[in-house]
Amino acid sequence: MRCFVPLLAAGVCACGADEALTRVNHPGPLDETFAVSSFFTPSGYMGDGENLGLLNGKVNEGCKARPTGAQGDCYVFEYRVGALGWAGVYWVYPANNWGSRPGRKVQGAGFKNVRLKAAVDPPGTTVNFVVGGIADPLLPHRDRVSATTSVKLSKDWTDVELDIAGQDFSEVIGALAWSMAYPTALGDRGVARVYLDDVVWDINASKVAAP
Amino acid sequence: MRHRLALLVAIGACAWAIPATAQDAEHTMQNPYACLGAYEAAAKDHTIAQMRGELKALLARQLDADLGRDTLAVDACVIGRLKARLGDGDAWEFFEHAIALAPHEPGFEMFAGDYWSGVRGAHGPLAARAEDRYQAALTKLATLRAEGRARPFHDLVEEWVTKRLMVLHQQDGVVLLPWADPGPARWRLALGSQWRGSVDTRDFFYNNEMRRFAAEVMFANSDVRANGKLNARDAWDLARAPLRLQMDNNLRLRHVWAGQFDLVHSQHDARQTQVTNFYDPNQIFSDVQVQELGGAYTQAVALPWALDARLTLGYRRVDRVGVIEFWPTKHEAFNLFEARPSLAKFVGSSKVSLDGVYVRMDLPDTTGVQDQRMRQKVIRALVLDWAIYAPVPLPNGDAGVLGLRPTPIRGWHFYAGAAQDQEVYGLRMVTFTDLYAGTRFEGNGVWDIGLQGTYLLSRSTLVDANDVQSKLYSDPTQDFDGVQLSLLPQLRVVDPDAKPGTSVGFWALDSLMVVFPLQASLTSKGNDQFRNVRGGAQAWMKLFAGQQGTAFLVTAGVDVQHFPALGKTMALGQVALRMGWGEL
Repeated sequence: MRCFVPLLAAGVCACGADEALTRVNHPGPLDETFAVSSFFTPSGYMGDGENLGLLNGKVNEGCKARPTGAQGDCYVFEYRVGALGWAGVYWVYPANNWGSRPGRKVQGAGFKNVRLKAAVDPPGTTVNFVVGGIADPLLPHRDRVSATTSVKLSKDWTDVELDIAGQDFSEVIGALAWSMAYPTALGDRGVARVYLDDVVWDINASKVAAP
Repeated sequence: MRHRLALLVAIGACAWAIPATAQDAEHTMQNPYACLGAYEAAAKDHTIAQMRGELKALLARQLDADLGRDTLAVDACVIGRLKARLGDGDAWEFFEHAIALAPHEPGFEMFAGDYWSGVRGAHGPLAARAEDRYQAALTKLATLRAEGRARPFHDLVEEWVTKRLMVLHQQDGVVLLPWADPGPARWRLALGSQWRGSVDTRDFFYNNEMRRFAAEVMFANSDVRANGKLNARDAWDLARAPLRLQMDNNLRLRHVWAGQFDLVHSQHDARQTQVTNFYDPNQIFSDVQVQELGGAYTQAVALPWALDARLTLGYRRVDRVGVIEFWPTKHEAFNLFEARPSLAKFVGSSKVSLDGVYVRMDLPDTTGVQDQRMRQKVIRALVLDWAIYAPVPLPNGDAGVLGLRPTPIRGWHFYAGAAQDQEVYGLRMVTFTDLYAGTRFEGNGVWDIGLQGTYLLSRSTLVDANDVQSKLYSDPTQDFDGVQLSLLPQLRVVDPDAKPGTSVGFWALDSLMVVFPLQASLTSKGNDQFRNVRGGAQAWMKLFAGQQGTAFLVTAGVDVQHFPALGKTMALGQVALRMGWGEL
């Protein structure tokens, strides 16, 4: 029940906080092109990212100039090196899920690719991208979709695409992840930055020109 | 009802029939404190039935035209006080009648004011109506003095009225306007300020710490966080007592009929209190800062059938930082709406009160996907209080034989209530529920005592976005049930009721209470590492200061809390200075 006038509501209905839960975005299986940021949370910090303060993600704040027609949120991740020398982030459903909970249902085999725009500072750094791949044998749920690619990025936007056509999307835990080794040229006190935008699961065929 | 109307008509006719010589300014002006003495004689050590008998006799006397107006005025005042004691809704009409019979006498205005401030009202006195009467008393007093007709007992009336106004204003703070003018002003502007500090496991809202710590550990240990990896040291660290500071400022404009308008500002700081990362909950605790600015409107009315109602509607704009997990420096700005309805009614000599609270915080969605960043918080509470004011059978050995005898008391409260705090975090909703019942005995001796049992629950529910219909699923891994037992003996070292008047000095001590709170918290379901016992002592001291008699409430307390499962004992402390404390 929605109560549009909270003060009146106190007298005429017992509005609880559960009213907020009816605002779930697109309840039910996802069946058309969607922005990953609309349904999956960048909560799976890995490597040095597990230590607070070493990998800081900002959403819709401090982004590069957004590409025309970009969908969803834009991100910048600032990485300071820790003991492990690498870091990364998974976009998962629900937040913080590594397989203990079911993933998001994606209906139909129509999804062809996962595409995004990426940039990095310092330029020339290689960033790995993964779709799916969460499969802890000790936990009851796992990804069935899996795709990976590694791209040497520049300071300017680069189109990145992962082919997922024909795979099983019955439950998707990790919709996307990136990881990188810390660029040693920055020294121990440097900050590497990864910029991501327009991260989309697409039912259309590839828009990236073949090399 | 028909009988009452007939009686009033008769009383009115009777007053009209009194010779004019008794109405002029030369009349004898009987001491209005005769009302108090006669009432004490009619009520003290009497049962309700005996008081009804006294009342009946006095009502019959009102028809005696041979009695002078002053005598009838005193009788009407006594009737009003007896009716107030017995819970009759028409008591005020007799105070009005006493005033009509002795229109120059300020004492009857004072007793009418006492009725509105001390007897009537839901969740607080009918302050504006009482103030109106007290101010009328002061105005009449000034007139009598100007005309040279004031009597020695009027000095006492002035002192009592002054004290009563000070007590009435203690909820407001220092009166800014009208300044030092006892005239019949219909509005008041006052400034209140409260400063609190604590090093305590409990927050200023008295949320149960056992449940909160247990909920933190259970969530941190859940499969979406540390997944069972927490150890005893993590729990030991989570039982924490951060430094908390709070300041509340309140500018209050109150009009006799238009109601009460409050402009409020609050600032809250809690150092190293909030879990920053539930994967590793004891690694870093972030500071929480809250700023609030808003307003409230309160209207309190007396309705027929001895029914009183009060409604407060409030709005605050809140800026908060430090609460969001992983984002210790992220600000949240949101609207807070609140409604606080109260009803009170006399049922015989008992007073039944029903108080409700509804608070809704429209928290902004946090960063992340829409499903995960949804936020909302709603607090609802309802409490029913039954206060007995009739003499109750208590052990008494006055006559040389120990037995149960009707004994006058200041009040014996029995209450039960429920409070629910729901907060949505993305697709998850956490609900804290308190179900409680208790009693508070306020006798005529120096000890008061309270006893309360609270059943504490915490439940977590989830929505699965994969469902086309957003169904709620329970998460039993987060269930928590517990019980809190509280015993609250209170010693009245300096009794405010013992001093109806006051001598206003720079600092005049009005009351001093020493409270010895004892508490045990036990777990019956869920994490039981935080069961504890707690005991301590608190001093509550009320002072009046300055020419206006601005009230200050100074409280200080120390407690010791022991968590046997953790092997942890903590020393806790609280201090507060309040100038105008609203609804404590």
